[in-house]
Amino acid sequence: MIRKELVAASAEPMVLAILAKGESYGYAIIQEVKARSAGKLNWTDGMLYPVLHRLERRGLIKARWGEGETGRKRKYYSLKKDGKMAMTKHHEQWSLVHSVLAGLQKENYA
Amino acid sequence: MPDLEQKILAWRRQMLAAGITATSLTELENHLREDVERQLRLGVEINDAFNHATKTMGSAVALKKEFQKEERSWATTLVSLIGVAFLIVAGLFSLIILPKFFHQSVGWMPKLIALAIVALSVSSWRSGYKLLPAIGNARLRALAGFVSCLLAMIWMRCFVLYLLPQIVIGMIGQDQFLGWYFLSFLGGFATVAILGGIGHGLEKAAREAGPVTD
Repeated sequence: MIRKELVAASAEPMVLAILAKGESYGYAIIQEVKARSAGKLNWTDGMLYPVLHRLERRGLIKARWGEGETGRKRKYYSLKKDGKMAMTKHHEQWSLVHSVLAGLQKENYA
Repeated sequence: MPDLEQKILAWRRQMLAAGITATSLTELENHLREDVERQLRLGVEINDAFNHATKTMGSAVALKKEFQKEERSWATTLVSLIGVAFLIVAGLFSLIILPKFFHQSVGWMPKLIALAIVALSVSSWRSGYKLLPAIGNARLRALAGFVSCLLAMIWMRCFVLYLLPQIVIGMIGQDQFLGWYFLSFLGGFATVAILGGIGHGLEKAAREAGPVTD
């Protein structure tokens, strides 16, 4: 299981990256994260929504109310231009962390 | 499934009682229903599906705490603005005083102190929020910010009326009187900047805080 601090820190870039593929909604976002991490990135589901609302307030994503397949009201989120830029920035930072760790690991096991 | 509807209704009441807003609750309820439906399709028994869905959703108290960080009332906005006003006033006065101070023939030590004071004021504005706690409760946050701004006002009054005259009396006639006089002013305004920075920073700290996971 991934540590909770890491889960919390990765929530924002993860949401932005998922929305970069196209419009989505809370439940689908959670399911995608779970599927892609083989269930190892375990969010407390409800905590996703304050993250979405925060991104919306900061103008990185936008939301609209639509209708789901069951006819139920559903809030869809999509990425805005600033969100795309924020995602790129996140990606650069995470890539840097990853490359440093990977380089060190390679030396340690060499 | 009347049984499920009853359970969801009870869960909704619990969330509303904790203070989750109706709009947020609509999203959360949809999420809960989808999760239950997915489990039912997989053949999970209805009670187990509901219990699992509510558990992964998170407790009402923990959720409210996260949502509150996003809620902004007029009180938190006002306190944040007052904090900014203090920062601007302190910053402007420091900018006016600093060149006058450097024109005085003071040693390097007072000059270093002056620069440190100004750096402290600027960092209080730029990154003070990083040191402050993210208070989830909007009312408590507004109150803490208000107290900080009130302290800034009290400090300003005490500084001008009592502290500054004392400094003047103590230093009058000395070589570097004006230099120390200006330095005292910088110190006085830095305190205002820090207290105002807390008022403004508490709001920022709450907004910048990441999500809490169980």
